[in-house]
Amino acid sequence: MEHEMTLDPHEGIRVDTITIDELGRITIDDAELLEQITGGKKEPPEDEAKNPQSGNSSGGAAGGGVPTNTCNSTDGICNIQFPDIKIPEDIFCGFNPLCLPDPKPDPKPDPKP
Amino acid sequence: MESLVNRSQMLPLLDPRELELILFSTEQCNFRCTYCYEDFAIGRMRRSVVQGVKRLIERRSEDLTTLSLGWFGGEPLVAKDVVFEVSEHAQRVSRGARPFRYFSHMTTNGSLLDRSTLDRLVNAGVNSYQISLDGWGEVHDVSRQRADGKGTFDRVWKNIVGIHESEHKLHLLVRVHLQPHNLDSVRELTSVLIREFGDDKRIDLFFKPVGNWGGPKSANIKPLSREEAARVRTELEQSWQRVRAHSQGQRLSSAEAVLSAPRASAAPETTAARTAASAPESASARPAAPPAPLIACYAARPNSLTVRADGRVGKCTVMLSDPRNDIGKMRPDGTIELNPGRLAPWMRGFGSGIRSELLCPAQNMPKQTGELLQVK
Repeated sequence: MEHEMTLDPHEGIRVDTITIDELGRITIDDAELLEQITGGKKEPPEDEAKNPQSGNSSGGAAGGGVPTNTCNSTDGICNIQFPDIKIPEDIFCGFNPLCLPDPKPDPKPDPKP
Repeated sequence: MESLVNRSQMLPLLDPRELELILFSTEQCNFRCTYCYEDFAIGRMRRSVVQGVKRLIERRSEDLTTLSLGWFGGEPLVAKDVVFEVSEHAQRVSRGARPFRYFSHMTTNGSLLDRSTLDRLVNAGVNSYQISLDGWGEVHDVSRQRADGKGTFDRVWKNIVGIHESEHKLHLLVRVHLQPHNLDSVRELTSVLIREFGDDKRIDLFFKPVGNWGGPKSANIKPLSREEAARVRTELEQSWQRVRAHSQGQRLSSAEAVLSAPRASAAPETTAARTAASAPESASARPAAPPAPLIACYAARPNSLTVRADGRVGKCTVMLSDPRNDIGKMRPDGTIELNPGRLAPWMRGFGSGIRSELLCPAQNMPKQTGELLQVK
């Protein structure tokens, strides 16, 4: 299986190192990546918790750079389609509660003790 | 030009210690909604599959910090005994020798969610619900009929009122469907929802134009135009927002909120604490608004799996008739017989960083067989 990789500027993750085992457990054949996932997220430093978006993101879903082909369109209608399964109208299933128009920041509790 | 996501945003979604299972307790439904894309070809979850899910939860308790169970169907409460059995088991295991956080969400038509059922579900940790309404009274019944042709509104409404009157810590998302024939009625419904539930911060509204997702009735589905849908949706959302300025938390189910939230410990939480993760009022206590989370469909995350009533393990809750969605099969011992190569296309957004591939990996899904399949 080939995966299109674009390492710069967003540094895509090598998904060919990721699979699941027979218990549905993610296995990652990349020690550095595993450390970044499991080591970096568990207890984020306070500064990081306050501002984890230090990279070169387009601004996140609620920020600028909103593309036209995502469900966070500002007109309230998602225009993602399933073109190869021939669904004719502009739709998104809406069953993913995260994938709604104009998402707001998630309601994380204060990370400070 | 494609919108890209940076690596640090994607990493939290790949945590091996988290697991989301979206369970089809049955693929039968007591409704026959006029736009439904499902074919109801499969019945209740097989006994061997129920055993497999329970065993999987037990076996994964060794390494899990967070388990999210989402109930889907069909109408999940048509097989409420399955929901009770698995939910209560998951809660027991989550409080056992290797505790982990456990959350549960249900997408239900609400008709079978009477007070005693609600009480038992909430006690078993199912504290987040989505219920759809298609207008007020008889207008709702035009598109939301029972399998025997009778209307459904009165019963669903009674149960929503029952949720409102309960003392439970929970979250209810009322999904209001917009269709060409129901707009006046939806406005009436919204007025009533605002009047009756505007002060209940456990309840939120979500206005959703009905779409055509295929299925046996797809030829008869006539969605609103984009422009009309956007106009009405904006109008209704503004009505709701005027009374619910706190709605910051409405976009997330408790389960999704947890899966994207930092963990302080693996210890089980109280129901109240769990609900606080998604409760709108908790937002006002934060010192500053955090940055927006990365939005990714559950189908894109390798730690989120659907388990169909017949034991097929998949990713998407819409592409139910497409073999690309069958990534494996649940065995009674809790292991999954994986179909080689089926998972990788769903995860491709993590490799490309392309936002749209994370939002909906079903979009432009790579072909694995020669001919494209249509959702039936």
